[in-house]
Amino acid sequence: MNPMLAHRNHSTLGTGLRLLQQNKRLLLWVYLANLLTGLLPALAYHRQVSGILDHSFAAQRIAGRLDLSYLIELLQHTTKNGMGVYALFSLLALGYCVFSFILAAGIYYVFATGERPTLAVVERSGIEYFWRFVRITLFALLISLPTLGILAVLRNVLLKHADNVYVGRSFFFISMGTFAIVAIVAVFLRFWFDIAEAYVVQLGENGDRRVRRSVIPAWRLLWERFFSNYVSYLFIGILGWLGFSFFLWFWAVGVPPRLVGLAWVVGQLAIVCLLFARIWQRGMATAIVYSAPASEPFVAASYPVVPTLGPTSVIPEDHPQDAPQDAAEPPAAANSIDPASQAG
Amino acid sequence: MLQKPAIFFVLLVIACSARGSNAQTSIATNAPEGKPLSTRVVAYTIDANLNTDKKTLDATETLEYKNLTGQPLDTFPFHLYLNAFRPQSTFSYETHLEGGIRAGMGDGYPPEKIGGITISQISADGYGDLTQAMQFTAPDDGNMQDHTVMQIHLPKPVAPGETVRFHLTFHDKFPLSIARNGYKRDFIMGGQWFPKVGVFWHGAWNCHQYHATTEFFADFGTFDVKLTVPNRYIVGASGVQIGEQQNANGTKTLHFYGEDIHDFAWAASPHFLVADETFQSSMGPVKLHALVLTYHANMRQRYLSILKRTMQKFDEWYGPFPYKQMTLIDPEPGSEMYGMEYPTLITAGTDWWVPKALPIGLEVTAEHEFGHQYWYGMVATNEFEEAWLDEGINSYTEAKVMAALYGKDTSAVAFPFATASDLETQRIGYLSDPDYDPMTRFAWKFYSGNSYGAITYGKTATVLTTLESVVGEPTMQKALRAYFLKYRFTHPTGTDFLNTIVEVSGRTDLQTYFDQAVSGTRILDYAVASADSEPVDWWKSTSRNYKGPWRTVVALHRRGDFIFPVTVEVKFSDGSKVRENWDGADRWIRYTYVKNAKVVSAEIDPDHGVLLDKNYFNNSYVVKKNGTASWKLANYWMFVEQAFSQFAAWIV
Repeated sequence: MNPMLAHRNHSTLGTGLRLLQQNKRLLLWVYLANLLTGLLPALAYHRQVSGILDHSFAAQRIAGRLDLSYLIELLQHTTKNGMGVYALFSLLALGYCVFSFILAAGIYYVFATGERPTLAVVERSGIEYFWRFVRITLFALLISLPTLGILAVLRNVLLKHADNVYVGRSFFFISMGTFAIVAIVAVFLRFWFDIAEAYVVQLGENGDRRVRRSVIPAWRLLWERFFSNYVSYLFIGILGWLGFSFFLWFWAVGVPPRLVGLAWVVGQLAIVCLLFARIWQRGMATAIVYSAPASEPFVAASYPVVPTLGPTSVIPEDHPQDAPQDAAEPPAAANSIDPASQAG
Repeated sequence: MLQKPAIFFVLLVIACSARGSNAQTSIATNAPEGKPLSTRVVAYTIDANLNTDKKTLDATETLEYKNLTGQPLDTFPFHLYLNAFRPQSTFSYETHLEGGIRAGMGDGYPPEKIGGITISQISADGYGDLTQAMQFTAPDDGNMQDHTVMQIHLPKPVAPGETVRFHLTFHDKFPLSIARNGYKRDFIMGGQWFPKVGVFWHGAWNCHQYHATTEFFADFGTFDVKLTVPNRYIVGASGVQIGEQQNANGTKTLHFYGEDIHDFAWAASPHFLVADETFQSSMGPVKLHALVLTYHANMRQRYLSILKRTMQKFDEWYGPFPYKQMTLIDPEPGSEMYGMEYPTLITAGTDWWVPKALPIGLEVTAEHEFGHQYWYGMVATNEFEEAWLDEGINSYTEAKVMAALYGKDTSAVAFPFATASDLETQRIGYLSDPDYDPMTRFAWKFYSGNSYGAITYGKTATVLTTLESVVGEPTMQKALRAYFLKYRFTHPTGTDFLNTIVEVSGRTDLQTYFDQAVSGTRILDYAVASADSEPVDWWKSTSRNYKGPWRTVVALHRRGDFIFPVTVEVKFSDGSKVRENWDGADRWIRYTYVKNAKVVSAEIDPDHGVLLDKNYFNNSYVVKKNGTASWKLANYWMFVEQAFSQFAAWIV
């Protein structure tokens, strides 16, 4: 197990961030996969439009402050002859989704085990857990689609009624408010299944390949310290979106239109913000799983036990005597262990 | 001091002149000496009671029709436009089949969108009750279920020069907003709400059915309208308000009067805020009366500003605005009432969040609808048969006014990072469906709703702008002014318009252009096929320091079937440039130059006036490659793909 996960008294938010810091290379691999996904259609598109633009004066209306009418005209010309680029766009997005099963599993594996986040490790573990992650995603869809579908229908009905009474700003706020509720539920579901995915890896490391066993325990874990965990999870997502939005705004107003290189850098920073937040969320989900009673055999072994805190029968007979890195933790840390978390 | 007989004489003169001026005083226009501005064929007097809860209206109407046709008339057709909002109507069928530009129609017809107008009684002085003589007709498609045109046959004809007075009692049911009509929440738009007689034009009645793409056509006259509404309602209407009476039952009766107009519309809402201003037209003061919804209170000044500035430009460029009041209605959000023109009343449209950097929203709409006061309101062309004369010319002048007010390149979108000009958006509209229909096609006979929009609005604006590059901007402006002044308060045709351009420009060679652009569907597309330089003694090897002479060959290619004179500008490395003029008739042409300089670029239409050209990107060839634009777009593409992929991967 990753020694960092032994800090059960640490906040899951902080642990998630530290996991990410410890495994920065994971961000690199995910980013490279995402970059490759973007690069291929971009090069194909460049090949398609460079013949039209590179020797034309009209292209200057695109190179400078973007003239939307010229852009639309170009799209009209390219759409008629270049559906291949659009097909490639969709295909690669789909490909990235499929590859995300490997990446996500690899990330959880590295977080859980503390192995070096090399590409080989991510790849190997990702492939090993691939079908289990596909199955857990199917579970997620099975639960999310009806839930969110019903909410969306309810929202539409509500908005239809609200439309008869509320107009302008007030309707906008109702619309956004109801959207926020749907989004909060969607994030809740994502949170649940992030925990479930981390749980799948934990089970897997114990030799249990049954995916369905992760869903209910993940649900129970979800409700432990739910408020602080969920707010933290949401906070990470919002932080990612804020970063994404900031760089988009800066791209729009702060980058001279002809500086394509700088625009590229700013755009990539925006993308990295989202990736960073997502991996952080996975780190947090891992921290939650490994701080839970279910992981006592792994966690408790790392701690010196203070008898006054209550029953400590969870210490196994084969408790390793060689203290891990965390053995140097001051007793105060041990004192802050929540007895309730050891009760099971 | 004046003597008694003199005083008597002066008083007599004053009395006579006062009586004379009273007789001539115009109520709703600033007409010189109060004389009628139009040939007033019709005089409507309507007394209507609006039920704002049921969204219905009950009214009596008196129509005086003056037979100025020079022939006896024994048949009178009436438009009953509200009947279009039924599933059986031609309007609904066409909208469902081909798409309309003012409404959408799925598979089912929502019951709340059903509207209608019912005439319960009609009579005429000297003819008695004619109710039984009413019969629906369908002159355009024979759909007898359409019910948007009704006609009555009189037992004896109305002689030339005589006036016939009809009396009608009718009931309206307004639909949930559709095609610029009906209600949304407690907002009610009364457009095309009363039985309106057709136009006897070119020797026959012209009274078309209401179609998915058509608008309106009517005779000039006067409208004396009383509208009774609940006290809490505020009403904006065509003409001017001349009275208000409080009733005992919590209602009020508003009295409006309009003259030298050919239609009358009103809008009622309890949520209007009134914003008034005065515009000094060259014919006198005009009250700008904006009724803006409370939800858009922040937009009042933007509405008034664009209205006033547009009126200033029209007054300066095309001619005076003669009416005493111009009413602007801010329609209910989420309704289908945005952007519609009626005489001296327009609906615009906005939302509370629309930024100033998007003039294509509020400003373009308000400008466009006001422009119709000239091209439809006063120059009252037949919108059924020649829609390009109102929507098209208006789109052209809209682009001119917007460019003058908001900048040539920023008149539609003006963000720091992206722009668009109103004129170019018109051209893009044209390019979306460029070759199915000619501009001159009857509005309901277009291939589709999109083709109608692309050609009628977009192509006409593009064709006239291209024509402007031929005859010159001042000449074009002069021609439009002449057209307006000559044909205001009449019903001119496309031929009248084109002849005016020929007369004013003195260009008798424009017919070929009109044939291809106006009556035809040809596509204009010229391209620089190649531009290259090589040593004159090409067979000899040359060093890198070779200074010349160079032989430059520039080839142009006509890719479309539209033939148009072409100007090409060739630039050389020594800074010199050459302009060539080609009649554009052959499929291609080649120019050869021998100079001590290499070609840098060749550009067709270097003054960028030929907007009809379908492809801007092949109009030039720059020898030195510049990949900024292509890489910029590739970067966009890449970013969108990356972001989209991440969103999609959220399921994992």
